[in-house]
Amino acid sequence: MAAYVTIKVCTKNILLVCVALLLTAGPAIAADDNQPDSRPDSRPDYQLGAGYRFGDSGFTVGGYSSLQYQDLQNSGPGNAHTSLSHLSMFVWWQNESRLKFFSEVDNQNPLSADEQAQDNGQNFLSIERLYFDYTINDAVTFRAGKFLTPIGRWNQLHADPLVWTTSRPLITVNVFPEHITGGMALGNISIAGVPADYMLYSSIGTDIRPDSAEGQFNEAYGARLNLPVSDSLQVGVSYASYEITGATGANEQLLGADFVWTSNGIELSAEGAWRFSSLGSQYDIKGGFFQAVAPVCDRLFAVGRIESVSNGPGQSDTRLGVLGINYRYSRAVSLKAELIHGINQPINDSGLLSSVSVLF
Amino acid sequence: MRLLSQLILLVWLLTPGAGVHAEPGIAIIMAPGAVPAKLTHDELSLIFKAKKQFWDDGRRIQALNLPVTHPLRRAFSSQVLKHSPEELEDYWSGMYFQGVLPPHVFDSEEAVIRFVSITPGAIGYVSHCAVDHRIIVVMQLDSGYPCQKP
Repeated sequence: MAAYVTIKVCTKNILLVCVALLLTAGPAIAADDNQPDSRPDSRPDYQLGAGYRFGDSGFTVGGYSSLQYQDLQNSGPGNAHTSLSHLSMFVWWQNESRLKFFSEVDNQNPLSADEQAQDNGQNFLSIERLYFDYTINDAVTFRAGKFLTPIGRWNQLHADPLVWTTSRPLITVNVFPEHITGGMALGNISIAGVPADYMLYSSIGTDIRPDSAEGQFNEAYGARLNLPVSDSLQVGVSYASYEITGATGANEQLLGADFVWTSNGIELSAEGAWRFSSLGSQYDIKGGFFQAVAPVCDRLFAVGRIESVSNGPGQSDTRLGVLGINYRYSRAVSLKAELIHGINQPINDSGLLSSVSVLF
Repeated sequence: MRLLSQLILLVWLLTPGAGVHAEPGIAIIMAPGAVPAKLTHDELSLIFKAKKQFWDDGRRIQALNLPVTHPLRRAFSSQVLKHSPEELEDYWSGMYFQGVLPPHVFDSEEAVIRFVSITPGAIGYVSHCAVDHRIIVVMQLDSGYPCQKP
């Protein structure tokens, strides 16, 4: 009875949040995403997908939210449920000076119709990012604080409204910690006439408000380089050396490569990583994914992805296939549905995932 | 003969559409006295993608855009950024996730000229024939954009 009441109350809360989201997004959706300034000395305070600017104070507030429905086979019968999987808020400050502050607080699973999810402590207020930037020039910016680990593309742009699927590729989960607390130098430099983005970082070892469900770096350093090879193609390479807290104490070396190619609405992308363990080659992990996106009509896109990740000594590789659609109502609002089919998958389940996400 | 040529010139000037300049082009403009030592096509692209944010003298760059539907914006985006504004939507969503906003949008070329003329560090684009004494041209793009005086 108690469980029934909890589920009923949670479902009601989710409906209320849905209504609130739609009411918030509605007027802004109707407005032009690129609403112009009518006066040269004024700026629009709010645009959907571009946050709310507090006048000339330098402060901007924004975020994203995602309402998710999942019906996965391995969760058992009757475990299909809906949840507000993310309610994330950004606050940043930047004026004419060289200093910038950025923060992102993410309330994970704040509302769920699944009582078990709440009991398991999946509702977690996470500090995703909290850092200061000081820019010397366009080639060198120093960053200090907590930021997303710059390995591959997905981890750095993982927000639900920015990615094509509700599910996240396995190679971007649990192979390396998603966040790092420490320092970084980053910027844009010219390599053989090509303007490349680089990042060099090191961890101090203690994360700011760590998520217990996520691995943490004990010590880490690494680098990433992203090259726009042409107007349609970008290629990235990543390297990291780290030790994960509470694990076997092994030192891991990770090499990664990725690319994204876009043309006429078609997008092809892939990420691959090879993690070498100091414990021996049987503990190495390697894997990756290849994803294709193609327009079906207007703002409707078809998405397909294949993945493969090795699972360590004595275990078969996990292979996943994802087939879905993504309707981009606007730049900031997307509706997704996908079928997942997997083989030997200890991490993800097979079944249906769908979501509505808003970048606000 | 001279009278005839003057008559022909007069008739041409009175002909509707004579204000449309044959010379196409987009003028990249800044405030007088705020001109960078040099500005290349690639730097212009980096500026309007928010990858280059400072002038050589350390001043922060303020890039200005016209509305998405403005034909000059579309011509500029296609020629300089190599993509339409719609194709760049995902790019700007990704930048927003990192706390970077796109260039400010002004609703007319006159609004761009007014803001640029009083803002050192600002850079915008207008049609070639909209240029006047308030601003200076730092680069000329041969875009094929037909220039018509308001």
